[in-house]
Amino acid sequence: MFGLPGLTALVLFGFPIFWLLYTLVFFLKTRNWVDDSENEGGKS
Amino acid sequence: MNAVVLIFLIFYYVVVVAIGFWAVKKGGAKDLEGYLLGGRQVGPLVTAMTLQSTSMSGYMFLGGGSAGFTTGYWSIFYASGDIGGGVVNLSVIGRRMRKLSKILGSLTSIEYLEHRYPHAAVRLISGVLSVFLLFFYVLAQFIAGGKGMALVTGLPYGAALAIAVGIIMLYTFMGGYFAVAYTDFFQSLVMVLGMVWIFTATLIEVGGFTAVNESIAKIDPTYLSIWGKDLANQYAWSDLLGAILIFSVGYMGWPHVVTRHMAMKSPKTARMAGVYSTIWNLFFVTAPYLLGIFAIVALPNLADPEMAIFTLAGELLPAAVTGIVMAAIMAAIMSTADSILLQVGTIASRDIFQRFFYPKATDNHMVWVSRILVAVIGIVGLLVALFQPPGIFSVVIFTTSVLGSAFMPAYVCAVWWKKANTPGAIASIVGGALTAFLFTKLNVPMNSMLGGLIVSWTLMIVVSLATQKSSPVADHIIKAMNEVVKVGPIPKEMLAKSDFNLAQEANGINKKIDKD
Amino acid sequence: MLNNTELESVKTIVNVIPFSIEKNDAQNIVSNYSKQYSVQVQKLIYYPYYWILFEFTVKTLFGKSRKTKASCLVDLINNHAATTDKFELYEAEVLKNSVLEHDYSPEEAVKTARTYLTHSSIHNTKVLFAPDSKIKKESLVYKPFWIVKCTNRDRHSFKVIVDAVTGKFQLL
Repeated sequence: MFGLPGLTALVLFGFPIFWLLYTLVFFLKTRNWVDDSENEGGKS
Repeated sequence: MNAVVLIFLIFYYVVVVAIGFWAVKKGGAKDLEGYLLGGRQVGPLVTAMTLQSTSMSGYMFLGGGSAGFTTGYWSIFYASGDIGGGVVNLSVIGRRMRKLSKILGSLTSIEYLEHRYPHAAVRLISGVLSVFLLFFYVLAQFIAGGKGMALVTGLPYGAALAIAVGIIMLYTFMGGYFAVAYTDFFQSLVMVLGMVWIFTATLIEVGGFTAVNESIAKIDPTYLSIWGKDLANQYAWSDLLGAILIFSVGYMGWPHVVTRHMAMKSPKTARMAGVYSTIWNLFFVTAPYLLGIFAIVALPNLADPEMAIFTLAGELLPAAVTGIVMAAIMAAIMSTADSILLQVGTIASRDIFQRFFYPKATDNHMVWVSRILVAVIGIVGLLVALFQPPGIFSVVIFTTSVLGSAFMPAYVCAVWWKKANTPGAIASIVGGALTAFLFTKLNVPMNSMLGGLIVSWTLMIVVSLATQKSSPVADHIIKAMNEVVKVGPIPKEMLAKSDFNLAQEANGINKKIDKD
Repeated sequence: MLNNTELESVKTIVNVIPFSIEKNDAQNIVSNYSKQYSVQVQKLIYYPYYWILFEFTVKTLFGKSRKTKASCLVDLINNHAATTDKFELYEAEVLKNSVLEHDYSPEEAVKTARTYLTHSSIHNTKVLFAPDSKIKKESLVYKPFWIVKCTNRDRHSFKVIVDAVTGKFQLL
């Protein structure tokens, strides 16, 4: 693929896919991290 | 490089200085106050951009390129871990650390370690270790700045280096003109566009991704193997593991990265930052290594591998664009150097000088201590960079290995393991640092990062468990850690919507009112 | 000698940050997120801060910046500083036993605030310069917090503090 040996292509594309999935899972699992920081008045 | 490049480079700085001048003198006082004291006005995208752009430095432009050029696709293992570095840090440590550091009242990451593992030795060792290793990281930036400056101006390395270091020192001592979020953002934008342009132009030049790989195969097919040129790393599993670990978890050792977690405005910012970080890294972390690999074909006569990316920019971009992009890159390198120097200054003045030598030191004293140290580092760094410059890639790998080995268990266990105590932390920090250091210096066959991490984790666990009775973790720390992870049947939505920033007050109120 | 009931009704005058979250509001806020619990607002307490209004200038490559104001609040129980938006103080007569005692003195608070200002400006401008700061105004102030208790049918309970100025809350 792309003129690369199989193992190389696996590493080159495999890790990014892994991290995208990890980030997706992180994003979904931390939905409850959202707090209402809209009214940031008065106290920091 | 030709005159057009130089003209546009200078033009770029003039524009940035003008923006800075306007912002400082004419801009609204409210903006300046906001920026100086917390930058609340800056939205999540700008925050993310500026956070990520501070990771663009000499390593990226020189180190990454040289690794790709000399070892081929083996270098991708370094990118592999790096892509996830941001999100790993944020997901494992981020939110909890911010909360704990707020409760414990820590301003810096070193102070935080002492608060969590109370003992003067923790602060002293961590402080000294950080200062020592950060020096090397600054050194890498000096060399990058010097080489870049030499390429652009045509001056010999020595003179260019002196100019680059001079500008960095000036910037750190007097700065001001970069002191506005807008210039950081503008710069990030230029670098992003520049990098994309360089990448695209190179890809076109070499005929596309498949074509370049086929061309490389004709030169030497071992470049394409994941074991790298000459299959040098074949079955070198510890190096492979080390390469992946270094920029995924090694970041946990960097004081300036860890401090950023402490400064996160809200969990919402942290969450989005994790996402932006991965998306950004996908391209910007991988690109330098790939560019180095493409240069095998595009720049067959390249003398200095570290100049791969700069040379590509010079040859493939229109002169004006090269000028502007080079200027932005130089600014990024100097900005990184400045950030590191500031960290060193802060650690030296607060965590070492004020803490151990002169507790009554005023802020002015501490600023002076910082300046003196920064000046010393500037001179020593200049001399080393002049006479015995190490390779940027190996210097950065070395420092990240030692710092990561030393501090990863300490930071992770600080928020995840209630049994992690002071003796465990001290043993782990010292053991990890020493191991990584010795493994590198003595050329031990096992990868330094991997070895260092194995030793530091083992020591943290074994020593903490062995000394639980003699050095239990203090009550107030356990309480603080519980705060961070509320236990008990508390409704999820309540936990989710509770305000981070009131943790201190909650702590204070807890101390004062009766439990009824 | 005052007896207990009389002690409980002793009043004192303090500077308070104006607030809009009343008892019912606090109750509603907490109830919103703890549906299975019975919610009871127990009392209003006053948290001590030292408020300092600084006027400062920062040195840059182009000389001194304009004079800028920074409003700092130092938590007097934990000795932590933070910046704050401006507010108008007013004097209120409150029950003495609802006022939390401060553990740190105004002098210590000023020092903390100054350090915080220096630290922040160094970090944000990335320059090794301590800002030139003058104190314009300073005062001991109190912020009101509602203490709310939540109990469920299994008699598990927890407490929540509600910031009477912003309506934000945190678990105790």
